[in-house]
Amino acid sequence: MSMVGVAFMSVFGLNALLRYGAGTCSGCRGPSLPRDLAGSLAFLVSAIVTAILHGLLSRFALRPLGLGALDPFAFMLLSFATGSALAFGASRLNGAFAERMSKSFERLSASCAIYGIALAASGIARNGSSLIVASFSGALGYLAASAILDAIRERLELERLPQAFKGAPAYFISAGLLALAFHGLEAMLGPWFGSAR
Amino acid sequence: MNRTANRPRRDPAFLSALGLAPVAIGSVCLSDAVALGGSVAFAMLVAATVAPFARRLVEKPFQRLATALVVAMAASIWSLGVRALAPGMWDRLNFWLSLAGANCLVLAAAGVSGDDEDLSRLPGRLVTALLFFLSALALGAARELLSTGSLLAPFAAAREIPPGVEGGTASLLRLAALPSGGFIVLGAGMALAKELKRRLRRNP
Repeated sequence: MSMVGVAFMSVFGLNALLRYGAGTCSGCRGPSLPRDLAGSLAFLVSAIVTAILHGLLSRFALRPLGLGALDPFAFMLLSFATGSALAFGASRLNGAFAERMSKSFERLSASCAIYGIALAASGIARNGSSLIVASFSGALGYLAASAILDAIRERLELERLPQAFKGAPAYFISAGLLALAFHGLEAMLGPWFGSAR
Repeated sequence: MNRTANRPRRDPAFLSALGLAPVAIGSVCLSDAVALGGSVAFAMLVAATVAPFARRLVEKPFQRLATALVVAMAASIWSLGVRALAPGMWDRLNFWLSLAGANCLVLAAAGVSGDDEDLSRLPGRLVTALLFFLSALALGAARELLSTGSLLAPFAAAREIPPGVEGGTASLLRLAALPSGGFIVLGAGMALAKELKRRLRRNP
C-alpha cells in the first residue's frame, strides 16, 4: 500500500467511531478533549510517540512470543511511561504554553483514543515510516472527527427533536451516520490510493 | 453554544453508554457480544473488587496507574481466555476486545468501577456489571436479528463469519451489521428504552 493510501485509510478509518467509542477516558476526568492548540499538539505528539512504541513492541516482542492478548496491559505501562516522560519534558520548558502541554500530556497518558489509534496504525502499517504516517494521520483524523461531532452535538442541543431521541440517543445515531459517511468515502476513494482492504 | 458542550459528560447514562460503545461497534452477532460484553463485565468486576486494594498499596500519584493496570490486566486475562477457547473469534475481535477492556477506564471515571475505595458499594457494582453484560447481549442479538433475520442458527450451522465481516452475509438490514450500524442500533435502543420508561411512568 502506498503512503498516500496509509494516510487516507488512517484519516477515514475508525476515527468517527473512536470519538465516542474510545476517546473519553481522559475527557471524563477533566476538561474536554483538547480544543486549544497546546492540547491538540499534545494529542498529536502523544499519539505518534505511543503508536510508534506500541507498534515496535507489538511487532518485535508480543506477536513473536504469542503474547498478543497481553496488549492492553503492555499498552497501559507504555502509555503511562510515555505520558510521564513527555509531561516531564514539557514541564522543563518555560511559559504558559509549555505548562498547558505538560498538563495535557499527563491527562492523555491513559487515553483509550490513543490506544485505538495505536492499534489501528499497527494493523495498517507494514514498516517504520508507514507507522509514523498512519499514527499522525489517525490522530489528525480523530481530531477532525471530534471537531465535527462536537459541532453536531452542540447543534443538536438547539434542535426540536422527539423527546425520546434527545441527548445520548441522538449523539450516538449522529456518530453512526458520520462514521457511515466516512466508511462510504473510504470504500469509494480508497482503491484509487491503493488502499483497498 | 459552548455552554452546552460539556453537558453530556456529566450525564451518567451517557457516560455508562460510552463504556458500551466498543462492544456496540464490535458485536455484530450474539456470540461476539458474549465475548465483548463479557470482557467489559469481567474488567468491571475485577476493577471493583481488586482495584481498591491495589490503590491502597501505592502512594497517591500512582493510584490512577494502579487502577489502570488492574483494569488492563483483567482485559488481558479475558483476551487470553478468548484466544485459548476460540482462536478464530479472537483473531476477528482482537481490536475491539483490547479496546473494550481498556475502555473500562471510562466506566471507572463514571464512578461505576474501581476508582472509589468504598467496598460497601460492591454489590451495586456487581449488579451494574451484570446489567452491562445483559445490555451487550441485547445489542448483539438485535444486530444479528436485524441483519440476518435469525439468531445463532446460521452461525452454528453453516459459517463462523459474522455478517459485518468481509465474506459474511447480511440478508436483511446490512446497515445493522456494519461497525457504524452498532452506534445507530445503540442510539435507537436507548431511544426505545427512554420512550418505554416514559410511557410506563405515565401509565403505571
